[in-house]
Amino acid sequence: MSELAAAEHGHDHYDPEANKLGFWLFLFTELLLFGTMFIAFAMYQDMYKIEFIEGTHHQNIILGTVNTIVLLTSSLTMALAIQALRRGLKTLSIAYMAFTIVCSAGFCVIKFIEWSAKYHKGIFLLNENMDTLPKGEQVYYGLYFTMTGFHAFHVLVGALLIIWVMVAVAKGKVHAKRLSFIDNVGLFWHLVDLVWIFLFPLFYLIR
Amino acid sequence: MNPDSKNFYEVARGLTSWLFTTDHKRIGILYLICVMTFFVIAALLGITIRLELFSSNSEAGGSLLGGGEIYNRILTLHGVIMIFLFIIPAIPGVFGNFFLPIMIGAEDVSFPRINLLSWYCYIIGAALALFAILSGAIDTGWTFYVPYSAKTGANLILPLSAAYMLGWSSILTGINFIVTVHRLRAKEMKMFRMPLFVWASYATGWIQVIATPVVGITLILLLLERFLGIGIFDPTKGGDPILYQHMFWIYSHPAVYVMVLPAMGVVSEIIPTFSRKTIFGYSFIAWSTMAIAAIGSLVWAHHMFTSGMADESRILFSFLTFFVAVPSAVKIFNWLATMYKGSIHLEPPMIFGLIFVLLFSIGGFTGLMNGTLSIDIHIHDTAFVVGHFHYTMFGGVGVMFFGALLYWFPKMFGRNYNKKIIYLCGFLFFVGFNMLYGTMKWLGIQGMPRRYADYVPEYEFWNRVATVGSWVMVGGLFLMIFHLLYSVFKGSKAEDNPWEGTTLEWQTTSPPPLVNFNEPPQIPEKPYDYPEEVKS
Amino acid sequence: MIEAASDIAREVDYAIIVVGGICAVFFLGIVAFMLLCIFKFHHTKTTKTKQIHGNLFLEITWTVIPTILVFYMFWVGWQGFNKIRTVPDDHMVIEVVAQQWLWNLKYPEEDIQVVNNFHIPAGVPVKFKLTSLLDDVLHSFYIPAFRVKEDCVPGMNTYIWVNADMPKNGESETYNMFCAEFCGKDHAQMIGTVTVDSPAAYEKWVQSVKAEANKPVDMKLALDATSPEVQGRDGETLYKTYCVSCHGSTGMGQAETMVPNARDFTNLVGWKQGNKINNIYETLITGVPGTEMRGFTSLSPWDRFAVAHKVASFYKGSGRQKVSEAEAKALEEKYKLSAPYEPKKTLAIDQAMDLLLKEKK
Repeated sequence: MSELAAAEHGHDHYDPEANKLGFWLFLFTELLLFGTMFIAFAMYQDMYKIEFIEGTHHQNIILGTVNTIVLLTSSLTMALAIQALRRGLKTLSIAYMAFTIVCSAGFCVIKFIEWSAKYHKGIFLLNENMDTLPKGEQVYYGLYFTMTGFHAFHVLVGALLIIWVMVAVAKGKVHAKRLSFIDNVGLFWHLVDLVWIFLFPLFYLIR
Repeated sequence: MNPDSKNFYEVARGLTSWLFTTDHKRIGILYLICVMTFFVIAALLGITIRLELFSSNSEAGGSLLGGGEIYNRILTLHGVIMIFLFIIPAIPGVFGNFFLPIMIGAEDVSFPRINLLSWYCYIIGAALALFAILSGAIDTGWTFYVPYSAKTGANLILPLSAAYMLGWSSILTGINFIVTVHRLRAKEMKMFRMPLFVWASYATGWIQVIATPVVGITLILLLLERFLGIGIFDPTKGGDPILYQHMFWIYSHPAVYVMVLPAMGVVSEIIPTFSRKTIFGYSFIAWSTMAIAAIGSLVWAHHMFTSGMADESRILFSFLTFFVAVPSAVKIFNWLATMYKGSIHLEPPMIFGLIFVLLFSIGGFTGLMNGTLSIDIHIHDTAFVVGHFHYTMFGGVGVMFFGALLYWFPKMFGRNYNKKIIYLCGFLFFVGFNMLYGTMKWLGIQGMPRRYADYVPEYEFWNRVATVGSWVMVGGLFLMIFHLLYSVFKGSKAEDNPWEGTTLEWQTTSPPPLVNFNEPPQIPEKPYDYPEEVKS
Repeated sequence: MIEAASDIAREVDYAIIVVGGICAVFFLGIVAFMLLCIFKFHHTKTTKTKQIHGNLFLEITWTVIPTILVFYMFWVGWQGFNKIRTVPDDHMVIEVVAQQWLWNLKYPEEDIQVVNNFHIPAGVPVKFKLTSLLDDVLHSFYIPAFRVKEDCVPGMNTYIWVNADMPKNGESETYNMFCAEFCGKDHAQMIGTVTVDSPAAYEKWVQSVKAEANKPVDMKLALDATSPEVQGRDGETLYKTYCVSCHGSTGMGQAETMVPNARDFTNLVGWKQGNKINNIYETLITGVPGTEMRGFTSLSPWDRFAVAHKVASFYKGSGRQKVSEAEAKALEEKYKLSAPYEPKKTLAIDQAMDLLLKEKK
């Protein structure tokens, strides 16, 4: 067994180029995943113009804007964390990442407030009240909960990844000479941010 | 003892040395065991379908399964298992994993642990699919069309999660291959010196990455539709069922090329080797592979010519569909030209290569008939389509899976098989195959719809011919599988290069050592470099 | 090949022969060249090879020629497709509503409705407007003899049209009609027939359907399961067409496949809308809201009574209450059963959709 482990040295060599390329391909699949939903959104928005505008009127723009700012800030701090580590400033990097995680938690809390407000108005999946709405609005809310839900899920996953990186940085497994992991998590976090940049105007601002 | 003299089987033994291996060759073998198992299961289900169709009328006691309920489940399982658990992972999972790194002179893939993870995704998907069978199975057809799939009483969550996990497996393999090709080629191995099988795996990787996420999200949306009523596909809530079909086929048509490109890659290896001749038009085959990957991503809606989609879209997609035929034709002509003025050895892999060329041509030509708008209005959703895709998928990919197995068998296991038995199997397979699927095409032109558990008596004769054909075909196949299984353990010792191949895998020992090469391989100037005077 | 019963069908056959012919020529070429190579360059015959790496001229040739040919094939298909999709102006309309697992066909001009088996006049363009019930699934309306097919999509309108040839015997000829889109358990049973009639035979058929639908009902005879009027109807066959796929041939439902199970007719307890003959009759019109049970409006009144009696016959005991005179009277008046028939005013589906849209705006 040990002979095997010793001989299987394939995963021992560190190739940042390969890691970057592989992760970009993965990001590409994520982009397609959300892209598919955006196409569905575009199609239904064209089909039910009036109902979709009616739907946006029920959104809370202030909360949406706050959330956008929170998420953009977190993207910035994530980038700063990587820069800090690149210069070897381990503690600063961890601090930036901690702030990023606080932001992501803030985002989730605000999202929860929005969803629960809708829930109390009877606008929620599986709620009988939904069946009384015009067809297009039902689709609007269906898309809203699906797409923001998917996005929130990605925020959670992203936050967990950042925690993981933080631990790795603290343990010294990720450092200025071995940046692939933190680089890739950063890229993932920017993607999450990017998706929100599209979700926000589509669901809140187009009226 | 010098570890270099051990092959990759011998360096470690025991179950855990397999289950936690990150060696690409061992992962390939793991895939081989799994896809073979599922192939046998799904083939038996297919035989059951044919038995049900032996007689026309279920009420007159001619029914084996007692009507549509069970029949639909068996049909769905046959499709789901064959597509998601056999055809998609078969050649990339087994031969891609095993040979892609060797053929470019690498020690392993770029992400060996992710490679193992991809196999585990496959196993989880397969386990879910098996649970689905045990818990009563689904009856929606492998396409899961809404609204039926959102309404049916059958348990949908297991098979959809299975397909989702298998999608992950596919994506991870794809990413791994792309990165490996870019990062781990041996120094002199330029892109245009790579064997064509590597090119094919590379193109396949791209399609896997581009297309699979779309079906992933589609299946998730379908689950959300079913359990949370999001309404995106539900006409009573304003959703559009045809959107589902678009989203499904945006993946599932390119997936057809995920299946067939590796098979074409294997043919491009086999034909030069057994003609002892360099491949004709290397760069044209390489580029046509990429062209198929690109154009193939733009033709999905030709599955929907009668779906009620706008007429303009149908015309556009028919037009685009015909484009895909051209690079496929270019490949076939190049393979034929490769044989010209060679010195041809009709060894078993070559026989399967030629069977591929014949059957895949028929599949391609009938594909042109499907692509012709007016004809497709008639033959869409009939047995013709079933015949067509079995010619391309089974006659193409399935045949080449076995062709690849026969070709690389000595290298993978270090053993030989009995060629005479394989010739007999190939003959039975070829005859039975055409009896079965050729007949289906004829039935389709006669108007017999697909997925029918019963049919009007006019169609009975040809259905009986098809059923008898299925016995001949499966008889040949199972004989071959059993013989190969026997040969793994009892076959005579194989040489390092029994076929006089020129690609790198033939420069190492059979089976290869753990690090693939005991001495650094010689990278030839051209991948298929034969002298003008060859051995007889 | 199967009989082609319209100009379009012959056009499609022509396309099959053209495209198939080109393919066959190429295929034979491939086989011939392959055999030639195998025999001429077999290793027992020659060990000398010529290492040819490629030939640009050949590559261009065999790229360009197939490209031209596939364009031609596309063009052939497109031309045929245009004919399939272009309906002449002077057409008659049949509205097809598919449901699991039968076809409702409504003739708005003749004001008749039939199920599964229907007639069309020869020589007249007939446009089929297709849809499925809104909460139903996909189906596909397919008549092989006319080589046409189109999906029936819930909440959407699609169409096909045919112009059938005059029957060879001068009177009528019957062809198969199938559901071609997978729709569940009885997909293979969702078949019917289309009979092409000469104008005279068609008129005769329309009149017979009308007479059947309009036959006034004598309540006394209708409520009596043993009356010749009820016995004369084939309740058994009607039950098979409309009911058996959910309620089963034993009348006990399909517990193993349906969740929740359909009503068990052998049991008198828990009938949501009552278990008397008049209740069953009404349920056959209205369906049971909130369940899978649908109304079957295309049944004629007498046939509907025959089905109701068939349904009732599954219960072998004597607990079922008789229909009181008052109830019989109420039913008669509600559905005007004994009155001379008055054609219902129905709108074609797309007209109705237009009206709805206007209202919405």
